Amino acid sequence: MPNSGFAKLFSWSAIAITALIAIVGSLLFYRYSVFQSMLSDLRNNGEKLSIQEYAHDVEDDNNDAAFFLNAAFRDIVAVTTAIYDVGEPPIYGPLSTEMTDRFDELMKEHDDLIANLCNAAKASDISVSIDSPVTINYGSNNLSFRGASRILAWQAKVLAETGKTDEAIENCFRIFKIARHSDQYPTISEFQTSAVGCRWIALSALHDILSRTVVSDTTRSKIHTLLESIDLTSNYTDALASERAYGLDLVMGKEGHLPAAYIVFGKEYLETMAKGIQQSQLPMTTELPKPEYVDVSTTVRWFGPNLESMFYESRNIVGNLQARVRALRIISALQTDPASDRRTEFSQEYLIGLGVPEGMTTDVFSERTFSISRIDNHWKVYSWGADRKDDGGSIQDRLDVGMYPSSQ
Amino acid sequence: MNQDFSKTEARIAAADLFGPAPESLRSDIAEIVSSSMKRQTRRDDFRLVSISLGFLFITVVGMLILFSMKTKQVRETLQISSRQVQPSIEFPVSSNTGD
Repeated sequence: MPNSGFAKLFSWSAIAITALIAIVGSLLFYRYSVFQSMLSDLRNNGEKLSIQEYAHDVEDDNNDAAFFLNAAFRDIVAVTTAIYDVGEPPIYGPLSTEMTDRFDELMKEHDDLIANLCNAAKASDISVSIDSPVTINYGSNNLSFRGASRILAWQAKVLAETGKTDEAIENCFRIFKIARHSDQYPTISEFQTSAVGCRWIALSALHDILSRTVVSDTTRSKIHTLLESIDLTSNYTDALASERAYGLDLVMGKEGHLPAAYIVFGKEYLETMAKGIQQSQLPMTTELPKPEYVDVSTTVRWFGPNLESMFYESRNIVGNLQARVRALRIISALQTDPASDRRTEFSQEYLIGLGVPEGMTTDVFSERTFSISRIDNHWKVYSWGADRKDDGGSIQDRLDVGMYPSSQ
Repeated sequence: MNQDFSKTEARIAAADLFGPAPESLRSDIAEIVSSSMKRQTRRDDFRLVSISLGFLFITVVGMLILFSMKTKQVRETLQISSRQVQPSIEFPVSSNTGD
């Protein structure tokens, strides 16, 4: 012991450090305890806490959409590349003659492709193989839900051009079925790119065919039933729950070592995700404040602010899709009334009279009715969008959301 | 205890205790008292450092025990032990490789 002064200094320093450790440790332990308690509650409610828990295997290949989509993967890539070599396929209107000829050639070269895609749509289930929760490479499966949907949409255009309207619309139904398979794959990015993306492709293809051809009453009735069944609200909630599981996986260290991030940010992460999930269940008519964008790369902050931006944008994406579904349902109903072209007022009662369910006559984002007009022999039906402002039907600029052939 | 306790102060203390005495005896007593007080100071210092380090040790070990217990609960809730071994962390990629 050098001297008494040093001993006192040393002792008081040790006591100060002890007090600091006790205070900081207690705070962190409280947060960790709350995090653990929230995890337990989720587990007790049957929630999945890792995307590995989303994996499941379908024993019978004939009922496994992944089996057929996996088999079609190389053909999808080859056909997509070859078509884009000719040019960018139009969303609305027929494929060019050159593109149609090339598509026909490609279908002969890849003669199993359409059969595989049809079987994928027909399959009752899809196996979800997830080898790695970090990279989400879905194991050995090479699946392209959107690629498959595009091929079917292009074929629908070709079929519609040759007068095979019902077959073309059947292809659109197949895209919706493939979209339903993609619903089983976790994470919000998968939800946006596949579940929403495929339905977006299917709606555009369906609108294209409805605008250019005459469909039978039976087929139209099937279309109406399908459109009326689309509600992505619960899918979005499920996607957020899977994103929560993915987030828990993402910060996990190698071989399941729990990272310090759990102790520091785990509580906030689960609370923020719970807020997003709660918001996903609110009606779209409930306007939420737009979160300010925070560049977390330049600040020492956690990723919460960006999650809130993701919730906001994802919710609007779901709302936009629902708005397009309703718009197409209204357009299809208007096509059944020969006198609709001459109308200037489209009241809710009128639309209900045409068979549109009451819930589909109003804008997704507000209680008001859709803006409906007839321009260049085409129906323009649009919602004011998430900003709740009429931008004159500026669908192409994505200021308003709806259906109009030239601006999809 | 003041570490700079001097022999003079010890001598005064010895005088207070024993009254008038030969200088040599006073000096011896002062020496004994001085060294005794120094030993007492060292003991007190040692006790203070031991107690403070003990608190520090108990706090750190206690926290480690608490956090490891909580971590065990979290691992059980997340069912980590039943999971496949994960490969090294890579940047997330989408499955839509065919797009």
